[in-house]
Amino acid sequence: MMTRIKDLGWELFHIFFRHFNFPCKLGLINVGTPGENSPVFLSGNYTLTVQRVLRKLRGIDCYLLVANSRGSNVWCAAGMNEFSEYDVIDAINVANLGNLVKHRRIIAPVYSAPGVDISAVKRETGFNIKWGPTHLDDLPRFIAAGFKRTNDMFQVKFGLQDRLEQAVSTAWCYTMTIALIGLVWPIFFFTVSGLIFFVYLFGFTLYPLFPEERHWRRTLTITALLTTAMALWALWSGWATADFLLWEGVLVAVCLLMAMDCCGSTPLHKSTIKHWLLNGDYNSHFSPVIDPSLCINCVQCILVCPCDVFAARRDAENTVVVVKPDRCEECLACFKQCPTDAIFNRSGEVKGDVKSIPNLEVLAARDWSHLKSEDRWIGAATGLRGGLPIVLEGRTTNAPTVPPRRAASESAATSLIEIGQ
Amino acid sequence: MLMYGWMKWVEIAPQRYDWAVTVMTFGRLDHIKERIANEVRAGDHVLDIGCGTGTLAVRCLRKSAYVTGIDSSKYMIEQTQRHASEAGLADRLVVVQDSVTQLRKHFGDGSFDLIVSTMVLGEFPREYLSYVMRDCRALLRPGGRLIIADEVLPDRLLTRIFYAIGLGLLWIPNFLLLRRPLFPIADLPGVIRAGGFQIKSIESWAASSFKMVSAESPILDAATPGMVP
Ligand SMILES: C[S@@+](CC[C@H](N)C(=O)[O-])C[C@H]1O[C@@H](n2cnc3c(N)ncnc32)[C@H](O)[C@@H]1O
Ligand code: SF4
Ligand code: SF4
Repeated sequence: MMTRIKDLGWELFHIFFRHFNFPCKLGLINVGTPGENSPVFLSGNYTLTVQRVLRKLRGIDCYLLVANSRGSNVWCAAGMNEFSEYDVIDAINVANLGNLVKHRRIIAPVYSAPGVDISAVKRETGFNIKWGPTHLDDLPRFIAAGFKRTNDMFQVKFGLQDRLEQAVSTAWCYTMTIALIGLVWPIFFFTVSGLIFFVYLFGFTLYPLFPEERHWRRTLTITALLTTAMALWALWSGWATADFLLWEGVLVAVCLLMAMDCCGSTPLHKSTIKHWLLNGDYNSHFSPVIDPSLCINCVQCILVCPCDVFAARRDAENTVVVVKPDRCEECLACFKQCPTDAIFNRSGEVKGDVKSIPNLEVLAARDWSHLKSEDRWIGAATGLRGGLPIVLEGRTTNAPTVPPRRAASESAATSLIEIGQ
Repeated sequence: MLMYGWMKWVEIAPQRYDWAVTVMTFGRLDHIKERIANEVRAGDHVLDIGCGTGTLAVRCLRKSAYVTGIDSSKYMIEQTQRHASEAGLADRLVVVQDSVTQLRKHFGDGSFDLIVSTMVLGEFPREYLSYVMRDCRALLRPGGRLIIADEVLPDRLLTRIFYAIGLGLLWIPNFLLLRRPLFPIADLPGVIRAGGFQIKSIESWAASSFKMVSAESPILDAATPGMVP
């Protein structure tokens, strides 16, 4: 009972302070009574994640290797060069893992892929990194399935709980920022804070119901809905016009804030404010295309992509192709992991804030004109075979095989947050 | 929007490292680096762990030492190289991009006269530090010296309490400017001593929250190789 209350208290605290880093102790944690054959899981040292993972691992004899992610969640840290192969190598060295276990396998959160070069870890320590499920909640199922990711464990989700947590933690940051106003003008402060919380909760809870952001469509819809509601309320309770205009101004400002948060609250997010202002959507700059003559078919890009952008060809040839480039949210995990730099970039641009990839700008700006014909795979029909998306060749059409972009993948990175294990 | 600005700020943080460090340590660090460099003798082989932008490495190069800088950040390594080239001293500088627990993969036993590190190891917990100290002990020639300057946990309980409050207040600027969670080490000299060193001097600043520890690797008799048990 007490542990339940304590767990709950921590969860609540961390939901509010999600945008801050809370480091916990580094090193190897024994879960149950592990032995030399027990599995090893990797985590960053964000307190909330470690607590959640430990809860998921209850009842399993294993090791949890907590490496230095500077107290941030793994996804954020990996994208900002604050969680890299070096941190994993350090943790393995210090824990003397090589002597502790007989096997050479570490199960890592796939969200570490933008930062952790698994070939470097292998070279320096001998350990193979195997990617775990995308969502931490799937860990028990992953283990039960014999340490395999099932079909539904690849894509990033942005579920109601993630969205609510995101709304609360972000709104909380803003209310803290304007807290000083509360000293001189408390009523205004409390009303604005209430409005911020309301708009964020409204926007994030009903997220899947709003139209996708194309030509500012979603932002306009939300603003219009809330404005109408406020106007009705103002009429009902007989506000003065000046009051209405003041609060309408605040409301529009908060809606704008939320729209812009959707494009840049994380280094992994797919767009920049400038792009949003000019184009009215959140599309990423990066748009992958694979050079089949360089691809060695290691399928790492498929394994690390949280947005289902890639698929394998298994009929005429064994390579990997890009089927849904418009889903990409520019986490650059594929770019980081590709052992042969076979991934080119259609746009030539990157957002420019992931720094753990050497020569990122140069690689991303390489000429890809010889790969124009690879565009024929865009929209190709795919099916799952052994958990891997496979191009169904012979059925390549321009028919609407691309499912509508799911809201989830669109701004998944907003939820960098805890889904980032 | 706030978050975005914050991310941008962090993103460009490496470029602001030097002044961020100066601001966060109230200029103390420059003075300390000067002091460390004064310990360098011409021809010494010096290892700078976590060399950062190379401010200490360049000072050591100026004292005619051969300097090896190791840092896990490519950007930082390049900065060190650039600063050494600008000073015209790059020919005595070697840089290695790797992490602090990998020292023995790159250097042989007894290959340095002096190992220095400022504001790097404070981030690591005790087990990591012990590991690095063991490696340093092996890499230093017998009689070689080790100088470490970093944030530490103050010695007395009362100062620790004040320190905790101060750290709480500094937490946000530190987080924004340096991107480096502070885990001040308790008993830094103890960790160094446990690594097999003899402590030569300990100096404290800012209510003992910042320490510079100078230690020596003991000269062993011929029977015991310069290895650590
Ligand atoms: C606060 S700076 C100090 C730089 C320099 N020593 C100074 O005093 O100005 C910390 C440096 O340590 C490096 N660093 C952090 N973790 C490291 C690790 N695990 N291995 C090697 N270097 C690391 C960072 O890249 C950064 O350059
Ligand atoms: S990671 Fe690179 S080499 Fe491997 S399958 Fe993808 S494109 Fe090909
Ligand atoms: S295709 Fe886009 S979303 Fe997928 S791994 Fe690469 S950068 Fe990330």
